[in-house]
Amino acid sequence: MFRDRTNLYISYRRTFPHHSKTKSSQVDRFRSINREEEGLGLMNYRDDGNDMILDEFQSPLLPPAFHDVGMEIDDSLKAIDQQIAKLNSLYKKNLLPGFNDRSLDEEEIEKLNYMITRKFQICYKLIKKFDSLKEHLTVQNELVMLENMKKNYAIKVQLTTSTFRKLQNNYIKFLKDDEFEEQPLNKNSDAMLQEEDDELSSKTIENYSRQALNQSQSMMQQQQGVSQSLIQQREREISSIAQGVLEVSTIFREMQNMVIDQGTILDRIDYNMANVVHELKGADRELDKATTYQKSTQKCKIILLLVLLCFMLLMIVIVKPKHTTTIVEGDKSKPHATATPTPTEGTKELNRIGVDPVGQLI
Amino acid sequence: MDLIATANFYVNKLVTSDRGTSIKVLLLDDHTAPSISLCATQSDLLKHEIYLIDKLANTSRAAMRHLRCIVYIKPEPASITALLAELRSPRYASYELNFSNAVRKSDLEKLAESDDLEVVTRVSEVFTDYLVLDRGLFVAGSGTARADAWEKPALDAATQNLSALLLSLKCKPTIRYERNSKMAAKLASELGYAVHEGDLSALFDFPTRDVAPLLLILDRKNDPITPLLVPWTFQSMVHEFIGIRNNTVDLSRVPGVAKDMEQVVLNPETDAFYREAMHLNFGDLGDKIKAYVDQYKAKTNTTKKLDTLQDMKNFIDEFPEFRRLSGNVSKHMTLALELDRCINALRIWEVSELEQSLACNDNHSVDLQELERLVLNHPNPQTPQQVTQPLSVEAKIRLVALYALRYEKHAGNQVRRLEALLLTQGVEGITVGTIRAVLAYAGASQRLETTGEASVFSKANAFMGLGAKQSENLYMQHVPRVEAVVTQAIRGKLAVRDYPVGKHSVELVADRVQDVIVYVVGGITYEEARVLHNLQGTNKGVRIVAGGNIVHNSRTFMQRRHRVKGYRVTIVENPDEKRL
Repeated sequence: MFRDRTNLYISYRRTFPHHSKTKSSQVDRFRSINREEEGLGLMNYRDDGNDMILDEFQSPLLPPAFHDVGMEIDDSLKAIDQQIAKLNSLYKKNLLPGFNDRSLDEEEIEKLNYMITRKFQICYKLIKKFDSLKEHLTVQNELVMLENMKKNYAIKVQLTTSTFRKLQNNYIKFLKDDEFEEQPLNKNSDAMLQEEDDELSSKTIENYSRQALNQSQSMMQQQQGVSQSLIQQREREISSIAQGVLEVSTIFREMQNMVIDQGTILDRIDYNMANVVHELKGADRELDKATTYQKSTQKCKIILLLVLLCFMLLMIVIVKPKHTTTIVEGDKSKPHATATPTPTEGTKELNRIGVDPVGQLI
Repeated sequence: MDLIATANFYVNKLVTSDRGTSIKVLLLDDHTAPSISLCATQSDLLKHEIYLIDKLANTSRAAMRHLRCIVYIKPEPASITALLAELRSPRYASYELNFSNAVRKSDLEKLAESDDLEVVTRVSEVFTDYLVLDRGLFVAGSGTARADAWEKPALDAATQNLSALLLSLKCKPTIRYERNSKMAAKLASELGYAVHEGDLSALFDFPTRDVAPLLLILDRKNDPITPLLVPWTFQSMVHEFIGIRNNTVDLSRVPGVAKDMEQVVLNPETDAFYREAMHLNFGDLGDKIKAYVDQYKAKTNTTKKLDTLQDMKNFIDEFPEFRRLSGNVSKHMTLALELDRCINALRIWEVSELEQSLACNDNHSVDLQELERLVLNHPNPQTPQQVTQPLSVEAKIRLVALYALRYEKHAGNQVRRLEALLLTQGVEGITVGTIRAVLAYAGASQRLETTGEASVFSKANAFMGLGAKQSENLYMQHVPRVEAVVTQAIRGKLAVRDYPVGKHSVELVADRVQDVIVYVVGGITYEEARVLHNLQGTNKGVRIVAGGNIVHNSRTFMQRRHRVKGYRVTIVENPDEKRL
């Protein structure tokens, strides 16, 4: 059951005269725009059909920079999705038995693989960029938004990487199986297109690609002498795909650290809200603490100064007898001790006294 | 009649905007924050590009004109006032207003008047004004200060929440209540009015079904036993020993708990293991957890042959993928270990045996002897050399309260002597008074004694052929009364004399009932929810949804009794009861 009350609300809104108020506040809100773009200010009258335009006018504050980063990631992800779809159809085509020359397709596959991996790396870099943007933000709400946005895109990228990885691994599996066991094709292609959501499968997949990589590398070494160019070609293909999968896996793993663990307390809405309040309060408290620290450091400085003073005076007391002895011995070196400093002179003066033959003072 | 599905429908309604995608902010109030937290997660909202979630009442929010705002609040005065202020000086580009219950036209007018800048783009009512704990368990209404009558705010809250529940489930039910409960009767008549004559009655214009759904309003005082007994199933035990609050458990006071386990979520929707295990008894739970841990081990072992450096590196690499699983395993391990600790520390085996004996058998002298032994902390005659720590005061009070309820009319009733014994043990008079509070609330004179129905005690199992599946388990002999009542209701055999039909519902059902909504005034227990869940499983085509104003465990139940009507027992020869 659900009830829409928009129409009732709008009819109420129409019955109330908003004009006097409206104008003044609107002028307020649009002043900045009017100044910038004189002509557009004329369009400020109300019309339901014009809502979209008006909304834009009402947003003198442009969305912050991190919003653009998000849109960039969205674009890359969309491109990746398209490329993955294309790759999938190419794979399907390649799975069917036939005698046509496939070198063109294979080239295309390689190219797509490379591009997708590149795109994933770009996405990853962009997500990392959120962190650097964080330093420029001061408003608490924006920080929270940035954090949430980062998490969301991490989830998105993670999802796409996992579909890509599954696709790749199923294809590698197929290539391998085809070579060694000659399994019925239909079964394989079915398996390839199957959406496996099991965590276990994604894990074994990764193992598999690692294995495949190792195997194919060793095989390539073995077969260098033999001129089985076809097999070599295939091995190289497998190896390059496996390489890509592993690269993407790294990104997947990095993303894992950013996403929220679903089903834990961190994913609770109320917990997060309470936490924000808590953190705000905590920040307040820390600020208070900082001020008290600041105050106490001033005290500390004074104390330190006094201690230094005491220490110096002590030094004088210790050093003094030495000098008296030297004076007693070297009585002839008396002439230059002309300065007789007054006790009112500062610490520097005292310092000098320490060095000078102090016999004069006594 | 799946509450989770209903809630998800509403959340979807809430977050999908008609105006294209763009980043959004969600504003909640104190009522809607918990209710949305129960059925949606932060990542659900992130998927819909809701990047900021805040309280409407928080006035220090920064203005961000590039955001669209979704407001989701309960239409109550405080939230409406906050919304008025927000609309007068809007911080965001546009507002979609969603109310969790029917909003009054006068409030709507006020909002329209404040909306000078015409920022509101949508106004809708989603009827979610209650908390969904599980597919068949809800919490509606607030607590009352008195146990025998409603105050205006509590009655209003209960009526509003329940009518929202009925609207969301799209049913216009026959309302029946327990004859002896004034509160149930009052609530039934209020609800009847809301459904048939009130402002909302137009909304209840659902197509008539073959069998009208039944709303059964019960009163806690007719079954004071269930909340007093120690339960033995996973969910109930967690609630009894640790406490579940809106599907979260606070483990921070558990000794030796890991930092990330201090607060855990127990939501059967997001946790498949919990969904399977929540109704298992403690023994089966142990097996289940063992199987779960084995499964986890098997998964780790497939990759964890740490022979070479490369293997170790692989293990580290794959670790994050296991993190979720391992988090869940350790969560349930922590809970089970804590339950085990509590059972041993509180001597629950002994206590529960006596409790079940009190609740189900008729054996006064033996029960009294055992009870006295436990109250006086005497060692078990079978194992006299075994040193046991004294029983907690709470357990003692609970046992004596059970005894008092069970043998209230027995000739050899010795409650007074037991009270005196408790006092000599150094238990405070006010605490001992809880026993009298429980008796006053749900003594024999207060309970509904129906003709065909077995009493809350003893033969509950043998009732109406249910005896066949009588539990072999010594510790789970007692079956909550609600099972018998709802079974009767399903079979259309609920006596009209004891369960009158609300005056607005005209058609009286004689036939079997398919959809039953049970509401327990004074609080429900997880144990009852479990029993009703099983009942739904055994009766094909029957759907049962149950709820109360709170989910009780023994502690909250006794505290409540104590707070509603406190007694102090003093150490006089013939102790007179004294109202506080």
